[in-house]
Amino acid sequence: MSLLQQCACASSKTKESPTAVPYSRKHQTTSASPPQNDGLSQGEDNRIHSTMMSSGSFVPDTKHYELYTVIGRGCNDTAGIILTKHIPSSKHIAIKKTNLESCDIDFSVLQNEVILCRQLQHEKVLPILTTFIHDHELWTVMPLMAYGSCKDLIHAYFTNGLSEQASSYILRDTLLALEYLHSKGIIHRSVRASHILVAANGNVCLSGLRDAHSMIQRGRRLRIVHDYPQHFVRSLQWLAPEILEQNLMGYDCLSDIYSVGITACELANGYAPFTDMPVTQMLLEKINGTKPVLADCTTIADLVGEENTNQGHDSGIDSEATNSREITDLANARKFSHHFHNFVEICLEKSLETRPSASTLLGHSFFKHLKKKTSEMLPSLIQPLSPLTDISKLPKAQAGDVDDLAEDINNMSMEEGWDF
Amino acid sequence: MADGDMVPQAMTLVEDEYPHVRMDPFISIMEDPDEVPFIIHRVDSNEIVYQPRRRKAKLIGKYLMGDMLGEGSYGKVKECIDTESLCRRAVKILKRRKLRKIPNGEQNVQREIQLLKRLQHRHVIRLLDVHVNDEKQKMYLIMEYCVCELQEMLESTKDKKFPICQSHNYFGQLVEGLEYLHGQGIVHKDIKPSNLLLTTDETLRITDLGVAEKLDMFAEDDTCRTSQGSPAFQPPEIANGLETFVGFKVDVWASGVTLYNMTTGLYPFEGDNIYRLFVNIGKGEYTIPDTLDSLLSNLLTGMLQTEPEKRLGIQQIKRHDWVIKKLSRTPDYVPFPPSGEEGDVYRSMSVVQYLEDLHSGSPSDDEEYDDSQIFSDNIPYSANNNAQPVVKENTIPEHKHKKKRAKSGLLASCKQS
Repeated sequence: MSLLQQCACASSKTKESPTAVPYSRKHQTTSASPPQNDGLSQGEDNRIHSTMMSSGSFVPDTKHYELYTVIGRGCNDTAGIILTKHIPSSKHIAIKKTNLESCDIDFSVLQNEVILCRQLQHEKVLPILTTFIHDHELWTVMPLMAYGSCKDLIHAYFTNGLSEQASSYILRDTLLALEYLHSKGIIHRSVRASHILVAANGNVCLSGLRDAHSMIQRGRRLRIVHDYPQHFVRSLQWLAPEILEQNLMGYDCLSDIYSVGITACELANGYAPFTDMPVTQMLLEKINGTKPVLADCTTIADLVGEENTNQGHDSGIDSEATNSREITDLANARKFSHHFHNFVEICLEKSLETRPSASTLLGHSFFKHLKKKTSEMLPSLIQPLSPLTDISKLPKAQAGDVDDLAEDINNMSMEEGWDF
Repeated sequence: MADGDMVPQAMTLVEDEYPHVRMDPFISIMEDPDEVPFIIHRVDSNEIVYQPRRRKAKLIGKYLMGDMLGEGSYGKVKECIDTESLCRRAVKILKRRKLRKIPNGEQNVQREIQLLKRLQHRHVIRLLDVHVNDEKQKMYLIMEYCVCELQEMLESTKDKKFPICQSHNYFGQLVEGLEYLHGQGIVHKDIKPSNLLLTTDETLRITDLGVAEKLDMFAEDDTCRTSQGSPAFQPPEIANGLETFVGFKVDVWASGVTLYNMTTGLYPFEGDNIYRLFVNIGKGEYTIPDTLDSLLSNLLTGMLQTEPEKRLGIQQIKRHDWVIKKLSRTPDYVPFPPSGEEGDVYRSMSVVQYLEDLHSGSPSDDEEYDDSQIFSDNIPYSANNNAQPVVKENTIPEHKHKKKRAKSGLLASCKQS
């Protein structure tokens, strides 16, 4: 299923009934217990993170990995993310298996992702521990991010958006990752909720570097680049207008900041802006300077006003009118701080001259109140969700049995999985 | 509003691309003035409002058409956009009627499609999709979008030439592209600045393989018999009318003439007519201006050798000191000339105006979408068409757009800034 469709269905579900969570109940009942008491303790998880980065213990050999179950799909559904036990250390990790024969993505693109990731080392960027090719599959070994992606959080429980505080922690860590990537001359180009992953201890990592583009070409750091990510149709909604325009102006690292603005709306509203329109219209809206906003009681009046004028042109949409009412009620019941509104507004500046950098944004008043580490705060802010850590209860899979595993995915609590 | 309506309709009639446009009542009056009394209204000049030309959305498969980029003997080249990936593309529109009038026209197109479909290289234009409309007798070749022709850039300068560093940049890329083509057993036969395109990041792409030749896989050498390239870029062996000649060296010569032209703004050989020109080329006498440094004139001399055997090969050119050496960009580097009537320095998408039409809210526009044409799924020009995806029809789900639009204002959480 394409992600765009997922977005569309997510938002439509929101409209139908805000209480119906498109998610299995099973997961929510297990989530009642606090995350620290789960199979994997927080301390252990922290240790994994610190040792994983430096340790050379992850050997490119399938014998070292005991595969459990598919917890997500990636790479246009030709890759499976598999919950795995690293046998020598008994630690839980994730392996992305990409079928190179059915994968429609150019091998060089996959190669680039690996080469790029292995040059990076930052707490907020998802590391690749090792990679190797087994039969016709590319195995990418990564730490387990037990809460899944922020999109999973939205799908699982927060269909109307995460709280402002949770969003601020997630966005701050995303900006920290971007500040690092940008200092290395790397443009991420697909910052979105499904590429922001949360570990069991609450640490936030940015992933999805397959679409990343280096501004350093032939030993020189370019001022602007023009490469159009034409194979990444799923991230179009998040792309900055200057990338979409594909003209001589080009773009740079600040284009990621626009995507942060869209992601902020996605986190807080529960759906990404421009979800429910054809991409051609989205392009037009972005070029014409349409700025998405956070939907709350301060903005909903404007949005509904627009809605009513639209309805003047179009009749016979009664069902949608009721949906709008529900959204209106929801939005009226909440209010985001003006810091958050301002943050979104400046991220979505159309002009590259006025759009701030990741470093500048980290000093924004929106983040002023955040003293603690994200990992200390986030798990409590996303309750009642709990991380996927109690592996002992999961069925053990046969190695290389990806196709069967894929069928199991529907029975799993983490339906949406990760999108790498 | 009546004035406003008239302007776009009259303009649209000029475009033969839109045969579905209804005849304007004003025009029918003009055709038959006896029937209706002709009343001339007096309108104050202040009341005349010039409306910008309304562009009508037109889709070929999944591609939305934009403005015209150029016009060749085969037909038009227009800008377009892939409505799924939003990637800018160019479409070469070929009319079979026109092709028949050109010697070998249909054959050349057929050959170009077959060649381009197999090729994939940074410095060779990519063919992405082919659409055929049997009813209109038209064929659409969807290609990569390039922002400018080298020729157009040359013409934008005062002396019709580039600074040395810029020529050096383009020439190096040309040689890489030629190396690939030759490695694929393809002789281009029509290398010249107007067949060299540049992308937004100044990557050179060799285009127009209409007269190119694919050597037989089992051919012993690169002997060719035919040439239809541009006269000023032809080597002596062709100017002298030899029956057979060494194919790859034809491209080397033409690249030499191209380099000469880029660096000096002149041609090594000229003539009032093609006969005189060929006589001059056949003699092989030319001069290299002393403004060029010795390394460059050495390279040009090597490439413009009358005897194909003495002429440099691609590998020798690649290793030539002038090609290897690093040149830093000088301030006189020629930028892309601004495009369109408005002189847009960024050469922005022309498709945006058509997008406005595609997504404009006025209900009266619906008829315009009747333009949807159903294409036959056969590609007559490609004998061994191994799966170029052909979208068979292009119906725009307009009703869907509309329904969605109704709630988009709210769900998208947008406001006009």
